[in-house]
This record gives sequence, C-alpha cells and structure tokens, in this order.
Amino acid sequence: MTRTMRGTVLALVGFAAAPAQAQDSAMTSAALVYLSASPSLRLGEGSAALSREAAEAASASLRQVGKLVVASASAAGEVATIVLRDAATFVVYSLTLPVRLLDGRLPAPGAQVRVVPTEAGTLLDCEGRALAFVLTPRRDHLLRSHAIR
Amino acid sequence: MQSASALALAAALVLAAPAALAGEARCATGAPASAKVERAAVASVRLERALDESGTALALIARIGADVSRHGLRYTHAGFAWRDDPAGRWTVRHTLNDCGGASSRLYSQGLMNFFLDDPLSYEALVLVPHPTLAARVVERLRSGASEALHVPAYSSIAYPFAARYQNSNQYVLENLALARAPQAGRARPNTRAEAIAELRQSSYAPSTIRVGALERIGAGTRPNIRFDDHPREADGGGRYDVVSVESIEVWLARNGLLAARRVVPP
Repeated sequence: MTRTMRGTVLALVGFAAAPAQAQDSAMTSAALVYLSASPSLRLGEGSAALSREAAEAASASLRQVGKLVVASASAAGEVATIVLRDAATFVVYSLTLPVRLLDGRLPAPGAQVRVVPTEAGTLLDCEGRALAFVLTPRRDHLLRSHAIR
Repeated sequence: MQSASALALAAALVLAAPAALAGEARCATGAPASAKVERAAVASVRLERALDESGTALALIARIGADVSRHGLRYTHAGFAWRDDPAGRWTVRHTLNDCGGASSRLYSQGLMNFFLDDPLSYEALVLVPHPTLAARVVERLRSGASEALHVPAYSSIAYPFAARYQNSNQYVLENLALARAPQAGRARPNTRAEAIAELRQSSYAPSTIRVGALERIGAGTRPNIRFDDHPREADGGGRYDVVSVESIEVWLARNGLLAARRVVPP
C-alpha cells in the first residue's frame, strides 16, 4: 500500500553550483526546488502558497523519517526528479532538483537516503553528499544567496 | 623531479595563506559533502543566537577560511550581518572573490551560506559596533550607499590605502570609515578616496604579512593576488600591508567604536 501526504510542499533549497557564466561564491546559490508528497505539485510552484502550519506539519513529518530509499530517479533536460520512499510508512516524496547537482549521476533505485534533522532544517544525505536541505519553516532565512552586483 | 615536486608543494602551502586572507568562495560543482552542510547548519544557528543576544541591529561577523596563523592572524573574512534587512532576518552583506579570479561580487546571503564556503573551522567572531556607528552602517545598507562603494577589481592582499583593488575586508572597513566620517554640512562622503582619507585620519593600522621571493613568484600567477598597488618599498622587504579582520577590530576599539566582541565556537 502506498499513501501520500496531503498536498503539502516544503520549501527546500538544493545546493546548486553557480551557473558557468557566473562562477562565483554562490555554491549554494540556491536553485529553489520543492519536496512534495503530492504528485500534482510541480517545479515552479511557490512555497509562499503553503501555509506556515502546513509547512511546519510537513517539516515535522519529514523529521520523523529515519531513512528513505530511492524508488526511482529520472532526468529531463536540466531537471532531475527523484522519488523517495519511506520504507516504514510507505510515504512517497518527490524531490525535484537541478541535474548538475548530481554530477551527471542519478542515484540508483534502492539507494539509501539518510535523513539528518538539525535545528536549522533537515538534511537529505545520499552516499555522503547533500541532496537537499529542507529548512525548518521558522529558519527559512538561513539559507539563501543573491548577488547584488 | 623530486625536488621540483617538493618545491611545488612548498609553494602551494605557503601560497594558501595569502590567497585566503579575504573572502574566497568554494566554487566546486555538484552537491557538497553532507558533513559540511550539517556543520554549517549547526554553526549558523549558534551564530544567529549570538547575534540575537547581542541586541544590535548590525554586527561584523568573521570566519576562518584558512590557517593564517603564520601571519599572526586568525580570521580571514568579514561581512556585515544586518538584522532587519528587507531580504530577511540576519542577512550577510559581503563581497566574495569569484573563484580565484580577478574580480569580486557583492552578495546578500543567509547565515548558513556564510559557513558553506569550505571554512577551516566553524568558529565565528562577532564584533558589535557602537550603536551610533551601527545605525549609520544600517543607513548605508538601506540607502544603497554601501553598494556603490563596491569595486569588483579584486586582490586578496589589496593595499589598504590604495583604491586600485578591493577585497572583502576592505569593503567592510571602508564602509565603517564612511559611516564614521563626520558630515560637514553636505552629503555624507561616499567615495573610496574619502574612506581612505578617513582611515588615515583615524590612525588605521593595517596588518603586515610577509611574502617571500619564491612565494611572490608563485603568487604572480594567481589573478586574485596583486602586488602592484603596494608601495615599491614593500617589494624589497617582502612585507605587505593588508586589511585583516584583526586590524578592523583594533581600529574600532582604538576609536571607541567597539561595543562588544564575542567568539562563537564551532
């Protein structure tokens, strides 16, 4: 049996390298991607649409997860989609992130993704590399980058 | 062959320090190591707590990007932490070198980003300016005056009293100097020349680093290390004056502008 969380989306900052034409410091300059349990949500939908309560509930839910398993991974153009499954609860998460973060190597189905909660947010670790960092809603100011000039 | 390798290694080791004397950023592609992200997350929360407890609306924050102890220094890079930035609470305003290149850019970042450029340690230093000075720096940030002071031409060892290049620590110091400068019945000064004049007038004393002849040859190949803005006599002695975090702190303290100092351990 597979169930999904109800239409929630977490603002999530992937660790995007700066574009080639602007190889600056902004290692984290942050492609904003979304972690979602709802298949209807797409890249580009703003986290602002999510109520704080819903974001907090979703964040809290993720923090309860010990380990996720890669159910599938695919790439279309510059966007990769990784479907993660909580083996214990069968909750499915869909992670969308820039392909370049993966160094051209999609995680294999069955690969373990460790969930590491911190006060600032929740880290998704795959083979020692940070796939994503889900900011705790009230800490969402901690990770962002913008080149002013 | 062996000696050539040893020489190259030695040059790489000694050059690591000058290169890291101001804000240089991690430019690797791909996802960062999870352990580093986790440590950055923890460090950012600690730093935020320290900033909140300081009660200030603006502080200087500094990090340790590399081991610069042989120069008698600890911190390598400073920026402003602004509590009420419209972009978000405790935004870091700082300049960073473009991946070892000859230029820098001005950034607005979160506190966690501050620790994601591969620091040597996750320790931070918080310097709280006198409230009047802090308010004036905030006004510079709010009005955009601080942005206008940024110059992209970069050298990690830029001479403090020349305007040819600018590095991250210099950007902070010059903004502080202009915020401190008296307003003589007209618009507040906002040029680098005026900032430098203010630093001379207020007895700013730079840190001096030693760069040996061999190091200098090696450094000459790196676009983010420039010697041509330093006085000629510096070349002879291999002693170069730079803006260090420590020299900013001493300048603040000597001028009665430092309200508090706090080290946030890793």
